[in-house]
Amino acid sequence: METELILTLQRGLIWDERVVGDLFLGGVGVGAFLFAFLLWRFAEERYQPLAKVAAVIAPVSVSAGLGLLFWKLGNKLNVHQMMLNVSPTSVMWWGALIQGAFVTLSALFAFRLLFPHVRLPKVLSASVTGVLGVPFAVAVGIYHGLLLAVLTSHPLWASGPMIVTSVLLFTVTGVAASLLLYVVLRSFVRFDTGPSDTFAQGLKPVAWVLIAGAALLLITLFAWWVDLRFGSIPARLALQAMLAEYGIMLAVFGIGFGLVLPIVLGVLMLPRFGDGRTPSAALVGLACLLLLIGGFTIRYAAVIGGQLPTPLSVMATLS
Amino acid sequence: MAKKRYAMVIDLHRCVGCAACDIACKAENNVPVEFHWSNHIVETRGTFPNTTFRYIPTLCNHCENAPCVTNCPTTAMYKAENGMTLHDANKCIGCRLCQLACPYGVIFFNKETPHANYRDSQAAIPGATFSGREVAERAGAPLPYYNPARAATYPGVRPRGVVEKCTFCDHKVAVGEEPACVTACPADARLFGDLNDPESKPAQALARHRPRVLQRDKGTQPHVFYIREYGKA
Repeated sequence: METELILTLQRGLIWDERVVGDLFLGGVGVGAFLFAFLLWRFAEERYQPLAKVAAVIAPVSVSAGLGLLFWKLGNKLNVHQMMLNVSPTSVMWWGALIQGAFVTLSALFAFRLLFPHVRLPKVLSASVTGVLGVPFAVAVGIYHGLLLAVLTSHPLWASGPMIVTSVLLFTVTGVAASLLLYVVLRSFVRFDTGPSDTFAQGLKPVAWVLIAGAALLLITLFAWWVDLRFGSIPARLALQAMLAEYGIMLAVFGIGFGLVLPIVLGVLMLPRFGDGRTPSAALVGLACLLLLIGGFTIRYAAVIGGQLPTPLSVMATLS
Repeated sequence: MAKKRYAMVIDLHRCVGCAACDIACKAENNVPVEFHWSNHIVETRGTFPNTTFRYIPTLCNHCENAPCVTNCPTTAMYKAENGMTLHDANKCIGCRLCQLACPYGVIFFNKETPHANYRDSQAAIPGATFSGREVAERAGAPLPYYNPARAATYPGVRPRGVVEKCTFCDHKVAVGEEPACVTACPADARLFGDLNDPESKPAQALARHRPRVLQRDKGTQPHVFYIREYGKA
């Protein structure tokens, strides 16, 4: 007879899809902000509509994510306790602070881009809010990875690749969401009246960022797998459990459709950026949509799969 | 005088696996039936007649390096000066990060208002038994076994939306008594006291026997120690 272990634990997921949504939307917002700032600061005038779209996505997306997290809280009326009590050892406490600051700065930045002629104090200019927002954006992106990585009781999360994955995810999904929304707006509501045949030509560096980001994500996911597969026994068991439950979903939607296919599409589209030619907007939109699906799937598998119960053989280890 | 450092030693050789500790804890702390502040791992190994059985009582380890405390964003989970890991329900936002951080699965979350069975108007046997609601009403308490003494340091019944866990019966310790699980143990398998006092029962037991803890590799430095082995001298 095999060894039988019994321990009655509380059933059900501790962090559900709402937390996945928070992390995903937070990543999208942060990436969109950085994209908006770079376009606004360095790109030509014809890309400013795209910068505006990205700038608006940032605060809206992060706020929506925070809304999901707030919805998840058991005792919402007590949320002010996070401000009343200083808890510097808690990553979530820091997260609340930096996300609050980021939402404020990114909202001001978006406002300045949309309404440049509204008179406001110089301290609220796009330059100031944008430059101040950049470190907060990076911090929020790292926070989303660190929040899980510090939970050492969950081997799937407590690893370096988890933080790197988070950073890469915000880069890729933020840019993808901005481009996708821009393409949709341009196609359906004639949002941008600029020269439609040239907008994509100058986006070759952006395409490279997406391809490189997706490729790096693939490498990081592999590093994550190696880290767990050849790690401690609890790490191996956690990986096994996650792959058994979410392996197919991760492989098909996270890696296949979500990373490999967009990389292939991106590489195929690369020659069409420039030389007076423009890649199909539908194809750009599709690649971005696939990247977003991939990003969400990876977050989902990591957050939900990472909570599969620790094997009792590990919990019963006395030494 | 040195600060107190409360700890518990569980002598697995003395433990008979009767679960009196679990029942006593529920009664003392008004713990909902589906929660287990005092819990146990049961292990059956081998093929008859060569079988072994192991029973490991578990509870909050009141870790020195408690991940629930480190990660709590509101300081609702905190280390008391006497080494206990306690929870302030009034500060808790129900984010459940403590549950995720704890490797021992000893923190429970009140997803719904607890003790639902004592608000149920449906009798177990209609026309023959009281309903849970009637029992609670006749007891004049949220549940018939309600212990008002629990409310001295922690809500008597923890509300919906917050977590809860073992407190080493801090309300009893505050008045010089031992935790309910210790008092209830018929085999004296649980020893509770101040580790900084070399004369205390746990300090003496740890001096005599090699102490073990659950999941030592997690680095949490538990304050619940296990000595000897179930069924072995």
